[in-house]
Amino acid sequence: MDTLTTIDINFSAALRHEVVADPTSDHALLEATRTGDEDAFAELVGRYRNPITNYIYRMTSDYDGAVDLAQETFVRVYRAAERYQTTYAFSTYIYRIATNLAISELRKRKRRKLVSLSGFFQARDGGEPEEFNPPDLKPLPDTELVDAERRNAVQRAISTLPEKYRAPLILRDVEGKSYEDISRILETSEGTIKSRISRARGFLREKMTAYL
Amino acid sequence: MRKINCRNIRREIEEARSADFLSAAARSHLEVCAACGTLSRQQIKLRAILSSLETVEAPGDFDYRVRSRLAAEKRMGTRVLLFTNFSFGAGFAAVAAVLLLIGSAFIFVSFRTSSNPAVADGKQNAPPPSVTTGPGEKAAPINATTPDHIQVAEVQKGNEPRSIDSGRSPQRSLPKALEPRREIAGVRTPRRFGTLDQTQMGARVDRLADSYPTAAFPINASYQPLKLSVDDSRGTSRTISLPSVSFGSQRTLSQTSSPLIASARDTW
Repeated sequence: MDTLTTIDINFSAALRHEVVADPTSDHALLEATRTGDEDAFAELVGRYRNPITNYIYRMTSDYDGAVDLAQETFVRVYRAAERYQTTYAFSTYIYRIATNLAISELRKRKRRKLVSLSGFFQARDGGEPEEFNPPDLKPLPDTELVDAERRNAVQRAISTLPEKYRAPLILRDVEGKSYEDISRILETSEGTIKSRISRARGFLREKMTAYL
Repeated sequence: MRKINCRNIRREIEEARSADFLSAAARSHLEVCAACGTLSRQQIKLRAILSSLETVEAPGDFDYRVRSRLAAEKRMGTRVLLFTNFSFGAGFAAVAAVLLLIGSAFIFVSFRTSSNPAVADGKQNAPPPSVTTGPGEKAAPINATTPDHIQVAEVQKGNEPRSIDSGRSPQRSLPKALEPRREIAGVRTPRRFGTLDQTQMGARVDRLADSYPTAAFPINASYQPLKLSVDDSRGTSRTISLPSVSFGSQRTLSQTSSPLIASARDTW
């Protein structure tokens, strides 16, 4: 899956006019960005920086890398603003770019076999390395402690999923996207997406039996 | 029949956003089917956990960093355009590595060959090994045709090589000073059992005269023999005449008959 820069399906003129008519819509902001309006692009960045950073972080389990990739996502959006066609929702477009960047990063990591801190904490079953979580010495109430431990366990379990299961699961259960949006973002049929999400959940259920 | 029903209900559970969106038929099935009920409960908990994951926020200077990157890209301008689509694949890297390896091997071999021209030129072009005995004297060639037959040039008047059939290995029959040194010829055997063609190497020549210039050592010794008279107090006396001691160089220089012979004639 190569990095996407444009969406090539044409948008009907009437719908295009309707979408761009709202000056605060994503499409209108991108149109303004095309004409050189820097503030419009800043508004787009402000809207999507947290969701995109969060999504890439859930995919890669690396905050600094996620921030870098999120910035790269916006740079690519800006660079491809001239070629952008308002065929789908802007969120679909930007999530697709982010997904491609995250998957590319995961593949690069596999190829390079980077030695990192997390490399010293390999999973017992030979899976991907577990996240390094130094103990927080601050006393926590029991409920917070249990919740924090559960969140860490979920993140570890997600990071062991194959990328083709990981992306649809995060988009569905973490980001709350619809099956239709996910199939557009990942350019895969809806049936395949449902099947992959189902398998990913089954895998997580096995991993997290103690917490369910 | 019930299996088919369970499969459909599980599919509905998977696709539903929450338990509230389940159909009435599915709800009634969950009340009677324990396996599907367990699956539904686990599914609800799993979704709750996943949705409870806190949103990671971008750093405060995110906008500034994006603008910086865009500004940097604008500055680079054409350079970015030139190299955007120019990437090196793994195959290209492998081919480049192989070419580099072949090139370095060729350079290494040519360097080794040039460092030993005698071996590179072959047997015909190699000068015959010889031993020179002095500055004005002609070099005497050594014919080393058989491994057991070695001729050693001696420093003599005729400068003719004297043949020695030692019957032993040629390395051991040679004096240590005349043993061919591999370092001189620039040939090193790479392995322990490597062969070395000694016929292609020039023999080592030691010019002792150059290393140690001759000097005269004058010895103040008389050619007169030493005479010793012994009297035994009964009227009998004897004279012992010891011959004069001389060295080889003195004998050569004096060109006279040996004093040892002269003195030994009528004494004692």
